[in-house]
Amino acid sequence: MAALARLSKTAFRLNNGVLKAGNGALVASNGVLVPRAVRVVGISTSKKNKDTVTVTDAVVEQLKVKTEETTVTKNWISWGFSYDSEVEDNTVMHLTFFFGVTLCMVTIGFVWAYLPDFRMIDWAQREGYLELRRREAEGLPLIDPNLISIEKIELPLDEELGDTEIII
Amino acid sequence: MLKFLVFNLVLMGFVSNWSLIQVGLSMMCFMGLLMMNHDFCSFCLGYMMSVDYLSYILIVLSVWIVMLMVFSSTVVKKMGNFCVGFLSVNLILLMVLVLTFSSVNYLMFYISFESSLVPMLVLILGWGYQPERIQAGIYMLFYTLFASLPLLVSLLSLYKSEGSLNMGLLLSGVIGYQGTSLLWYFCSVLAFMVKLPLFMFHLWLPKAHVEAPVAGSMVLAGVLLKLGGYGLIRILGVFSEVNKMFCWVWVSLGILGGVIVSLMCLRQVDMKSLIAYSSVAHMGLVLSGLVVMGGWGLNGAVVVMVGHGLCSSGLFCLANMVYERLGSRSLMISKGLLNVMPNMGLWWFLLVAGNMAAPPTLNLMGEISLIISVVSWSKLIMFSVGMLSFFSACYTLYMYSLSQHGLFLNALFSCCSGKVVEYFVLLMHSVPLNIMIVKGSLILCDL
Repeated sequence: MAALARLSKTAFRLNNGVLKAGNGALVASNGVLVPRAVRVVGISTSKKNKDTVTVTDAVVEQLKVKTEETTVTKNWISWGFSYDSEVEDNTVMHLTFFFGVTLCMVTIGFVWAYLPDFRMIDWAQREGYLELRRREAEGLPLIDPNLISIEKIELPLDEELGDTEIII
Repeated sequence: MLKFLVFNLVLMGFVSNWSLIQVGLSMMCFMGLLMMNHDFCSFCLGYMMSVDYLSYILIVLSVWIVMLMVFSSTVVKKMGNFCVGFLSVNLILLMVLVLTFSSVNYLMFYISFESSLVPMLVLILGWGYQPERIQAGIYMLFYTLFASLPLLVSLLSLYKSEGSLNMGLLLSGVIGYQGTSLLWYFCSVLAFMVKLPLFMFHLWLPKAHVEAPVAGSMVLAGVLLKLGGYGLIRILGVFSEVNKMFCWVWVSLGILGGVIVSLMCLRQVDMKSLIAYSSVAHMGLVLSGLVVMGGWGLNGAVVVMVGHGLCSSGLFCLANMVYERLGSRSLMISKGLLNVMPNMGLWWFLLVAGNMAAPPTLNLMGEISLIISVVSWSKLIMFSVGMLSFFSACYTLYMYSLSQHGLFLNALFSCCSGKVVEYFVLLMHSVPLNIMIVKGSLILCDL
């Protein structure tokens, strides 16, 4: 909630076209209402007879628009993502930390921490214990030097082997 | 795997927008990390690419490091120093790396392995900042090419004799341990020994690491050295018989070379050079663990590769941050930094602790596994391995203490103690390094 409020405040400050007081005459600038346009009505007067001739042209109703600087660019310190534009700098900072920290670290960290039996390590340990229990019950050696029991292996006789090379 | 490559290609279309690429690469990291929930030996199959446990870990590492490369190269963006070219080179390098780690065919692996040299050379020559980078680029290129052309010949003869170069199909391997098999074996592994690098073939590494821009150093230390380790893991299975005869060569060169190089580290004045030599020492230990062909060694090697990738890359970032502020990499000038940049002291210490395999970093787990594997091969080696670990702590503490403690240079007024983007980069390096040990089974790959 606080983050939303802070984000919105910065967003409005940086994007000052977002909430301009439309086409009204008053505009909020740093909380102070400033007149945006000043209408000047030209006043036409008739020639003053006693004055020397100074021709004041008939001033047609003019609209002098006095624009004030509604935003004063403050010196801003960059986060380091962009040194030209504060908007870009801020946006990239938020996006970077969202993708980098929120997603990649926190979310992925959470997923990794709770991955169910990753690569069947727990299953393998369970199977190992079950096998140990079976061997203890049957009186077999816990770790048998022979993978397959010797009675099941049929070795060829010497005559059948002949000259075959035996590699150990 | 195609989803990564397509994403990469699409990002290449938007290289004119630096921020978009930054965010896009973070998105790609997230995409990659989501695939951790795999349960098969080989997944993402298709188009002559597949990913298994080891490849997956290294692909994630590459995307992570390339993302951090772009974040730490803000100087390129600020100076407007050919930003489009820079980002394109980085993205091409990422594409080539993903292809390398996900290739199923040895020849495709070889072609991508060689292709990664081209963007690397362009990066060093284009964005490095000293005239010595020409020589550094030549050394890197020719050392690697000279060693890997025999690998090409060996792979082609393997194709002729076995009929296929598919990694899954060459299970019988090269039978025999004399004559042709010997030559075959040496031709094949030499390329990876140079890439790792092994002690006698390591001369290109200090040059290339020092002369490269920060992005180049990060990717070299972080990923490209691991290409050598990865290649060795894939190719040693084919030559297991000959390897048993000659593993003593590699173990001796790796461990003793590591000790010698660690001693040389203590003599270095250039920060980047120190970190570069420390990479040689770490990779020497990795190599020794790999050629011993044991389960502990394989697991330890992968863990150290990941840990070292994060740690060295982070240290190069830090060295670059100091260089950007002080204009020098010399430890004589950039000392007493705790006075001027106290916040960076945290990151310095965390990454330095990683480098010397202090708990609770990932490097500790890897180094313990590697020590176990190497000592199980020969008890006499305990002495050298002990010296390697000891001196690794020595030179790391030397670098930390000399750069951080003491009085700072008189000519220095002040410097920024770290922008948020720099903290972000260092955070992304050290947090995985320290946290992943809690669930180490994620990085261990019992192939």
